[in-house]
Amino acid sequence: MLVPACMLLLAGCAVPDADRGFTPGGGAEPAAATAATTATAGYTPGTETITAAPGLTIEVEWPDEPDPDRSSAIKAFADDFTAQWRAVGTLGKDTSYIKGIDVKSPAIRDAIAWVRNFLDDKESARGVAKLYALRVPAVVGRGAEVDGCVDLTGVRLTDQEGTPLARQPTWLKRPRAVFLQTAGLVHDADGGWRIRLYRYADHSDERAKECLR
Amino acid sequence: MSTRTSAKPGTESGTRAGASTVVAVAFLLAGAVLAVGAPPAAADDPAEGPRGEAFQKGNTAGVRLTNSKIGLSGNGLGGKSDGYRIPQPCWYEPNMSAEDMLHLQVRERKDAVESGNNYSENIRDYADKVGEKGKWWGISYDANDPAGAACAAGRESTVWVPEGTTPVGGITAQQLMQIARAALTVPEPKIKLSPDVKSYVNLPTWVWLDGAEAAPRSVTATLPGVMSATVTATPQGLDIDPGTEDENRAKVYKDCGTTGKPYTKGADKGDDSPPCGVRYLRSSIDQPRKAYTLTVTSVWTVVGNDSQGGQLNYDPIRVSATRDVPVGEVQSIVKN
Repeated sequence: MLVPACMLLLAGCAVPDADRGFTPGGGAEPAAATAATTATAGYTPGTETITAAPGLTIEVEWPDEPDPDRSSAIKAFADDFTAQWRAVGTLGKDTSYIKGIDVKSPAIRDAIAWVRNFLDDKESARGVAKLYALRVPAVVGRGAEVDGCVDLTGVRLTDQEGTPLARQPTWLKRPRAVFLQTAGLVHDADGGWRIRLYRYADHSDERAKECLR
Repeated sequence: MSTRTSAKPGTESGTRAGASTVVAVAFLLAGAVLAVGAPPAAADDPAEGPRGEAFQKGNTAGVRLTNSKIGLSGNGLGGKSDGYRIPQPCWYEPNMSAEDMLHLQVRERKDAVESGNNYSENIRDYADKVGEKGKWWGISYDANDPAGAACAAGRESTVWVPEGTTPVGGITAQQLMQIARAALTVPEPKIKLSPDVKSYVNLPTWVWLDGAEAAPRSVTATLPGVMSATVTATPQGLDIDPGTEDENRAKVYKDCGTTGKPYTKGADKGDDSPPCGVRYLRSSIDQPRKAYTLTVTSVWTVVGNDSQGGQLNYDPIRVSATRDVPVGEVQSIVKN
């Protein structure tokens, strides 16, 4: 049953944007609020503020990506990012982030562990998490990589009542709070994208320097 | 968080063959555990922003095998790479038995339920394989390849493989050889000149390479207990580009062997010519930066062999280095 799917993938054509030079902010156009709409992906290029949970918002800079497959992959990536913060902000009551992840992939473990870590410590979050410089550096067969810069300097760790902790962790302060998050996604038979793996580059990595503004 | 605990230092990026500023350090994950089959790490770390495994830091890279049991060894690791990339940057490797996979899935399912996530993965898919002969194979990839993650994401994370068969996209001796080839690096030439700092019109400039560039370099990729492949680069020769195409400006001497000939007093060819080097015939005063840009390219032949008798000749590796050579004129007055 699995073999035919793999056979399709063997003929996959790699389209990586390799050897690109350093560009502050990742080189992605930051979302000037134009009239253009990436209709198939369901977003309009520009900055959108999404309420993930009471007091916790996600600020997404949607790029002007003309390719519908790539733009829908970007949308799936950002939706997953938002959904996991929603899980944190609702103290684990909202588990919709599972829907964006292939449950047979390593990504499901990473995502559950990430959310659970807040819950186990009886913590939540408030503030603004930013996601920007979204792009698709590679498409191979049914797979794609999506990269996005994350800025968590506007997020505050709280207790479960929403009161900020007196001592905020270093991962919510510069330089650690700004990093590059990447994901590998698969294009499902239903046309949607699901995440299968996560990777990241922290502040000391050359890749993350693209996220500095 | 558990995802952070898997972070490892490392890098990315490569450059083309022949570029003077090239790549690469190969990162070794000899005997790396398949993350596909690894249990989740203990959630004993403070919450953190990123998810997943960290990229390796820095700006040099050969290959980085992820979710792989393949080990890399040899003296060809850690030098300059030519940016060679594996044609298929993801592949399947044997991972775990049906029983082990079922136990893992049950445990993960239990963890998920305890976290309030009752997702609908069918454990029966794994239970049904218990008792059958075969193994679950997991997807592995080169994380330093720009297409590696996308390639891996496009395939099922694990596939059931009956005993004695190999899945489509499964590791082969040829694929193993390609991995060794991508990991193979050669040293960047370190140009030595005599005279070193400045030359003069008609004065022979000797050219040679410093260090151990004459030794072959090899990398062996091993899938423990299954197969291995070795790719070896052997220095073939030097190319010298004097920085001008005008034959009236420079004459090149090409008896260089693999590393050139270090200058020794009285070692010229009897006519004041070096065996390997260049004689500039015009001043560099009119050149950019008032110097000729001398380029030395080290050429390596590359051959791969695997433990199943396969052999492959690769395109040569060419790595270059450049030096500015200012060439002055000596004015003399002859009196009768």
